[in-house]
Amino acid sequence: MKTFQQQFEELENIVRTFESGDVDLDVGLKEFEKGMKLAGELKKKLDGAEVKLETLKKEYIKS
Amino acid sequence: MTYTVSQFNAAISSYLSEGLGTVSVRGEVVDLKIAKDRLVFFDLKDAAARVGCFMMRWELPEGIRDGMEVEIAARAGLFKQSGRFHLRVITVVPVGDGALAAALRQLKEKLEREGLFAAERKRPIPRFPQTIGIVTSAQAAAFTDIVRILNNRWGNISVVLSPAAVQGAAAAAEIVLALERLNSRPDIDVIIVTRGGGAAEELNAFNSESVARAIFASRVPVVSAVGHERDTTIADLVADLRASTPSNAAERVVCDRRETLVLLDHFTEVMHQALHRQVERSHHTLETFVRTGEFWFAGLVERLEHARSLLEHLNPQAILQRGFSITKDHTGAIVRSVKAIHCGDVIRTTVSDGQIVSEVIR
Repeated sequence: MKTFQQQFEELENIVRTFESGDVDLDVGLKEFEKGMKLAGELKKKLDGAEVKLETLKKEYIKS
Repeated sequence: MTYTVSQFNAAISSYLSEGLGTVSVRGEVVDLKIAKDRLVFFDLKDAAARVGCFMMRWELPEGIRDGMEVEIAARAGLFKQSGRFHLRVITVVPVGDGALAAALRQLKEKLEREGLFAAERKRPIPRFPQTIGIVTSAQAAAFTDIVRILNNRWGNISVVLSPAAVQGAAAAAEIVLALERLNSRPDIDVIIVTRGGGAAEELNAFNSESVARAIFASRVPVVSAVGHERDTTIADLVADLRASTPSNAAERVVCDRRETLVLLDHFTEVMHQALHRQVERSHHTLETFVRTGEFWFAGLVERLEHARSLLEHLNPQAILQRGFSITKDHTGAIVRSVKAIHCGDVIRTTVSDGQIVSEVIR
């Protein structure tokens, strides 16, 4: 399961390819599909819940 | 009973140590000597008297010098062999502003020479951390501030609090342990070290050598939010990133959810436009072929069909209805080139409302 960061960076790369100039139609279609899918998944992840809290136990230090 | 000398020295040493326990003594350091690179001897004196002190080299904090006013915690004892009375020092702390400032400055210089503050070693903070560790006291206002801001900005993350006292004698050691606890977990992406939040807090622990080294040794990048606005502690200098307040730390560690949504929409727009441009270009090429009366389609038709189904907002019906079609040979493979078919072959052509079966003449 890819992390948000991994997926976001993948999407950034795709967008960069599109921004850099002419893309072959075949390649463009594939990348477009991939990019749209990534964008959709990332948006879903942003709908997230509240922060999950956890507190570690403090061990006592012997003096 | 009659003791031997050895027995007597040992007995008195125990008597003193157990009877008095740990005592606190304040005085001026004089005749500081280090023997064999391991043993530290000095005298503590006031106007009228002095007493011998002893400790190990590695226990001596940086910056303790002759002439400095200090406060020690120690246990009284006799050296077994010489019978000499001494104080076995446990901790020694400079007191008085002058002494404190001097010791701090010396520690800063030493750590800087060792490279603990070097800009090159500061690691980048992950852009989208999933688990954030926080070192502060459990009741700290700073902690609730940070959690509130994280909830506001992102929400879908985990926060692990590793509690430690941030003031008092035990603070430095607790902070070191708290950092180690977080570092021992593989899921922590970034650590925030922060003070409690009270205005009158003393920040000595964050100026200690042990905390500085613990931050430096942390495998996980550390963001410090310790010093008050104009007050930089050593911890702030060693950390990978320094935030001005605990709230600021939370803001710098996570992106804002809304801003990221806007960015994602922008990405979508860029991709749509780029593909639209490409389809338009291909359309144009195709229209040129049709106009010159050529019988074959260069495979662009199939790809346009594909693009059509993706770009729903770009006039979905237009393409097929404009007269474009898909041609397949007798095996069902799409014909992209005149080389794929021969005279006499039967081909099937899909148009907007059905199929046409033809035989190739030329």
